[in-house]
Amino acid sequence: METGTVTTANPLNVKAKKESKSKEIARKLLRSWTGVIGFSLIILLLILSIFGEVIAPFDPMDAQLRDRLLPPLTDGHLLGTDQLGRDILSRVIVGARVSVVIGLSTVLLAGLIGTIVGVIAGYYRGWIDIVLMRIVDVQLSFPFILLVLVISAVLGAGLTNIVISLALAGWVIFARVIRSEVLALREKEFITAAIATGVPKLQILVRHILPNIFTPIIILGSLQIGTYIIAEASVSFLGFGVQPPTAAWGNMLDEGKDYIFNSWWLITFPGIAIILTALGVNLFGDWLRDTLDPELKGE
Amino acid sequence: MLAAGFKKAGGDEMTDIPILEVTNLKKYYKISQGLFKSNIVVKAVDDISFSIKKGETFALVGESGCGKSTTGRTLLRLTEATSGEVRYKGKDLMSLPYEKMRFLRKELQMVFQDPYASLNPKMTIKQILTEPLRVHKKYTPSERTKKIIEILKIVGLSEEHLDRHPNEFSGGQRQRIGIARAVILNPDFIVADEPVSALDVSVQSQVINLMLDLQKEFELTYLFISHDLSVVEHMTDRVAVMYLGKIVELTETEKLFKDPKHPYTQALISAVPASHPREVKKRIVLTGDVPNPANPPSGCAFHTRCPFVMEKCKSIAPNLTEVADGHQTSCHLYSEKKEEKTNVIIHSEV
Amino acid sequence: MSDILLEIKDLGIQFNTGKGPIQPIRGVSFSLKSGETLGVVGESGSGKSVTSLAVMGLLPEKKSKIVSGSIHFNDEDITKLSEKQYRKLRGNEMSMIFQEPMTSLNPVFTIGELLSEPLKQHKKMSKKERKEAIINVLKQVGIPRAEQIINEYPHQLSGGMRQRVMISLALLCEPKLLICDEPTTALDVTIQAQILELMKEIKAEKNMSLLFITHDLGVVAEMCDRVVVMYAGEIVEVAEINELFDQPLHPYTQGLIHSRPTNNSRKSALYSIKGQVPRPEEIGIGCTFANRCPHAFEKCLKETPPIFEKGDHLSKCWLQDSKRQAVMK
Repeated sequence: METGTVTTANPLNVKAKKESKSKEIARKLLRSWTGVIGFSLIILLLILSIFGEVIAPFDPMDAQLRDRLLPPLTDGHLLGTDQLGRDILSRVIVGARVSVVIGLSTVLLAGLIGTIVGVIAGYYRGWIDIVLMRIVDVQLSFPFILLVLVISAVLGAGLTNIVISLALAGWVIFARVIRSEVLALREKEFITAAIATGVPKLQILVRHILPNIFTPIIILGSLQIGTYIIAEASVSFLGFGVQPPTAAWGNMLDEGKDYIFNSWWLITFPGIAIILTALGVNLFGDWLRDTLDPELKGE
Repeated sequence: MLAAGFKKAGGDEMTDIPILEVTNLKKYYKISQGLFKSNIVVKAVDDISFSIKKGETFALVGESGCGKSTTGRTLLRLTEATSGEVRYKGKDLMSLPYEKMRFLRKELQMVFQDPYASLNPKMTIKQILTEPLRVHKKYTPSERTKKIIEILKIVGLSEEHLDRHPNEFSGGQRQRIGIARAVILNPDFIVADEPVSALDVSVQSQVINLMLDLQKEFELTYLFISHDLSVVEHMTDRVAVMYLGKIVELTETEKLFKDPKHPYTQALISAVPASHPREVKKRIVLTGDVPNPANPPSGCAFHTRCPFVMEKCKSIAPNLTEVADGHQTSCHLYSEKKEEKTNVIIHSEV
Repeated sequence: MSDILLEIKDLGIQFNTGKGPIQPIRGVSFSLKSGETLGVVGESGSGKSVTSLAVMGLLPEKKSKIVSGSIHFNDEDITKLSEKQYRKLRGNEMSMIFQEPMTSLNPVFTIGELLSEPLKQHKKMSKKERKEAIINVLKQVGIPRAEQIINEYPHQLSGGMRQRVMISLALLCEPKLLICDEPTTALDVTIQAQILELMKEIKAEKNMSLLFITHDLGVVAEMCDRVVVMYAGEIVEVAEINELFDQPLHPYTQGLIHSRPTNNSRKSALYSIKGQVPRPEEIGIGCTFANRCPHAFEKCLKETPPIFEKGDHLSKCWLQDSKRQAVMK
């Protein structure tokens, strides 16, 4: 055959490639200081949520009414105590778990619903697309937090219910984004090539479309987690969410708000925890987007 | 269907049996102009007919927007035709149910222009090449791998490329993969849509050679869509020249380049850059641009740019008629047996 | 002023990529006489566009730097110029036409606004004079209804018309040097023919120097007086146009010319250069073309060839080594 031999461009074996890939990601992470901050905050949050009880200096549930409303740095209470004499640092540490659990499970549930809806609407188009997207439009016209409150008012309080109501209010964003991703993918030439090969429609969806929307799902999910954590705190603050005495940053704010004028530390520290978490998740999400999706950044 | 490895001695023998017959094919796009305005209809492919013989390479030539790519895609039902008939081995493809058509695709394949966009970036080469075999339930899984390695060698790649992703290859190598995907099912007919125009010059000739070799080896029939006239002259047997959705000239490749009839074809051929600095080309430089397909000129669509335009060209559209043996063109210059006279006009003015 | 308008000497450019620095251009030297059309031929990755960007001072600032050599324009080393000094040159003394006429015209301005920009920058003219100059130049490049076109936006024009606007934009200040980066690649053949004719006319009329960058040998054959052939960031051959087509010395140039379909008999296998263009990170010692070259021998793999001169015909290939040629005879 007169085609000539094709010299291999990079005679690296596959294993070496895999190794260099994880190294490459680490190198890319180290290059961006925002990425490093975000990543460290997330790691810290995960450690706190897993080993919270071990790390916490006091029992977060242990109410010592004698020691109520101690300011920070008194009697070994680094961040002071609350109105029932519980150690605030310990409660903030243990409260991390609620945020992580709610953030992660909400994003999984909302992402799942949203992806299914978005993929169906974008891939099959037609009337089903119109119907689904009108539902999304209607839901998007309500403020997110109001919707969460309405749904959790119906479902009642509790951890599971707050996850369900956050997901029911939050899936629409996934549906919108995923639908537009699928719409763009449908027009890609490799999809036409798959049709020309004779690949059945369902297989095109599973083998060609889904793997290619994975990256946007991850990126959007990582950015949404922050929103959900804040929303959970807001809902808990309004008394619909995680119920006392379980330590959660939202209900700590709720309980502390009555003492805001003479004991500022009650609400300041859970507030800072929420801010840092949301910041960490968002910084990391931004970095992830820039790394996985360089086109968006225009690099 | 031929068994793999079955090679025919002669190679480019052509038969006169048409493998594909296209009759009155139309593809119109409606462009919505908003709620209260009537839609604009773009006639991307406007009533074209031709047939492709078994074993030949049939070229569709024209400039961007002339409808050549749309024709290729419509034939394979990658977009649905507005009307018309496409008979493949006697069966009308346009009226086949979706599943039957999908099943038939193992005989009708396509090579795409952009080797970067036409391969799924998330798949390995092995997955890309297994897919056609899997969906058409050919061979056992272990035989499939053997077959893939075989085809990779034929297109000039090797076994070590199996687990790589498309982004690890150069444009030329990707196009080889795209071609491998098209021929792995032993198809009879391949639509090649500008298969070399996105490639570097030094790689183009490799891919052209590969396509010529594969044609001999697998007795392929090609529909070769291109705007590059030198490539078309080199590797095709018959050519249809398209302008604004219509075929304006159709004949054997050698005849077309030796004696182009339609003024558009003449201009197109004369516009090809010289192959040597000392070659002096008699150039017909067309004035103006290709008209907007959404608002084509009346009568003959070419009359706005034609150097030989007559009064009737502006109102009456000419039909594709045979003006010499096996040489069809749609131009009023040839319609009233004035052929000799007009030929004189054309050649004296060039 | 000397006869030589642009002289590039031993130009080397370094890009910083995520994977470390690469050198897309190494040791590039050529000169352009005034009134001459010099073709720069090469495939993707040959460094032809990077060279032209370097001349225009348009290299991405943070990611790239000139590591060696000089670019003399009008006897002045322009690699040392500040951005402000460069702005006086660009669009005035030297202009550039890009490949994609749609993306290189800002869609939010009308044609008239786009064209008045360089005049405002470089020439002192009244509004009325500017308008006249613009209409004049539009007519020169063969744009009909110039008076109306100046109020239209780029997207309202066809590809060929946009390229004409690009050309008129480049011509406005009557530059001495016009760099054309694949000016007809995105256009259809019949439109390409129009634009090439137009550029020939304008060049003859204005006595400009043209640096014509393309991958298409046919376009080169039509347009150029001399040709520089680039491969993988280096110049491999420089020759007068007829000489290049009649007697290409470098095996790469030979391959390019032989592999054109018009130089092969119909339906036969085309002559082809085997292999692929190397990526910048794959370039090692020896001749960059050695792994694809049909004539490669030991020395090619070990030593980078110098540039051999045969009159005005330069080529970077060990085959031209006089010692070796003596042995072969």
